[in-house]
Amino acid sequence: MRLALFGAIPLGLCFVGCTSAREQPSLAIYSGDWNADDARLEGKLVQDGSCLLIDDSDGVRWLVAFAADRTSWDQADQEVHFGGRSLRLGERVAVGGSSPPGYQPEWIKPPAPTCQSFPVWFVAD
Amino acid sequence: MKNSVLCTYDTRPESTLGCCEPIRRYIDAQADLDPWCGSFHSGRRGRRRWLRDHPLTAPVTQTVSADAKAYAREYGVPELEAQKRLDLQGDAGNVLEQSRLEEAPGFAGLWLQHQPDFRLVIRTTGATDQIKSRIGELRIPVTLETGARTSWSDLVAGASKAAQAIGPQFEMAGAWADPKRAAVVLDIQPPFHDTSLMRAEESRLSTELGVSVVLNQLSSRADDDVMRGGNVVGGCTSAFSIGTYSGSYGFLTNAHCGDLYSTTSCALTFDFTSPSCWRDHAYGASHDVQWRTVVGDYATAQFWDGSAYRPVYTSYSWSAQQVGWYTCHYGQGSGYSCGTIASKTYQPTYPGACPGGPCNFDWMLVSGSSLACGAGDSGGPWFVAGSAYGVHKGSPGSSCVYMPIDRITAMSVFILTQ
Repeated sequence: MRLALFGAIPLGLCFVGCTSAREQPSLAIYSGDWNADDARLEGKLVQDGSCLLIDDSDGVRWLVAFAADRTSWDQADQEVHFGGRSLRLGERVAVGGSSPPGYQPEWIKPPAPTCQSFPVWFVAD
Repeated sequence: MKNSVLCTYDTRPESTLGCCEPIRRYIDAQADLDPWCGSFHSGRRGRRRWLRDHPLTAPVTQTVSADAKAYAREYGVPELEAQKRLDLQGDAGNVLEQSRLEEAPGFAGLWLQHQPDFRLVIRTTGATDQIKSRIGELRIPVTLETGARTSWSDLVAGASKAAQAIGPQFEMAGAWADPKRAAVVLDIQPPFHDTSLMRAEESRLSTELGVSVVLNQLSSRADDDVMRGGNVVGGCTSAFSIGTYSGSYGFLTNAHCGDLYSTTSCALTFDFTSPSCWRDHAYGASHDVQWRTVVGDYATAQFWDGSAYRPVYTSYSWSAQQVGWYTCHYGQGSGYSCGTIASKTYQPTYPGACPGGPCNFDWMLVSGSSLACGAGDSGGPWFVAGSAYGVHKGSPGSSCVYMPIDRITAMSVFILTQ
């Protein structure tokens, strides 16, 4: 009985403290139309803090930035919806676009300060 | 004398068994004598006598020994153990060659397992009597697994059927039956497909064919390393091969494909499949191009058009190309398609189109009902027959944009032609 109680305490705590939802990522949104360059970035969609990233096969983590058109985050399904597509967290994904060196877009919603150390990939729809 | 040498674990003469090769190599390597050829556990005198009767043949010894060393490194076992396993592998091969296991009722596949221990695994759908009688006595440890759901012959037949039935959106590089997974594996060429699409296709094929089907996404295309147009270049495509006036060779792709200053790391910063070194780029209001080279490879005046390699004979400048001209392109994302030039004074205005400011009104815009462009096409060739027209850039809306080929002169390079 004592053993069972000891086992139940952390489990009970977990029901209270461990079921809180994962932090919602802060989507970086650039102004204007979608980037239309046809380079392709593929890798695993991951979240690091509030940063939504694609971890490519070389181990480079790219902050993905979207145009505003039809872009949203689905917290229940852990998916980003954009331009008629969906990418799910934890899955391997491929997106078009580019990362023009030195390019500074007009941001509708700039990357969170903690995300600004990552190179930015401007996603095409 | 030589042919009378016997090994303790087998009574066949050395000449038919080859089991004493490990001893040869052992002596050659000056390692401790372990062994599985116990008849040589007779001390230094015995070894010397054996050496006298069996002069070592250096080339064979070195070749086999190198293989064992490679095995030892790969599987983390001592080199002597590695050599033993390779010899057992050969020995098992001799037995299996005679056994015609594939024809045995219930045979569902076999493989040699290296970790966590070394053994031959044979899988069956039911009874094992036939299998056992065919393999007889093997010196290698054997595990017989029963309960497989698919016979080997059904699995092999399934691979053939799956290769025929796979959806046209997937370009295959190969099909095979995997005895370990008891599944048909279809190797899929790049570009990368979303996981959900892959799983859906696996499910469809498995249901239709009655065998387990797995799609295996290849990370790089099964091509050689010759530099030419139409190659997969990480997340982009190469356009054409180029030369320089100083005698160097390379290939073109878009500047926006990245890694614009790395002459030392020799790889693009996003998923470059074949290491290549940046050499120069032109990236601005009228340019989006870089040239790279793969050290040690040669360049050929060809490009891949989606179904064949085409020779490059000539090129047309921006001044020559006109509205209404029919033109085609290839890219790893969308493949081959064609359209007509809608404008030669197009200004891309999408975010990030041209670094440092707005693009000029001098880009080529192509449209057409069967035209397709998409992610992965960047840097790919635009052409008609054997004529180079341009380097693909992007696809705003349903149209495609390319940079006319004559702008590569900004990098002091020229298209290689035949």
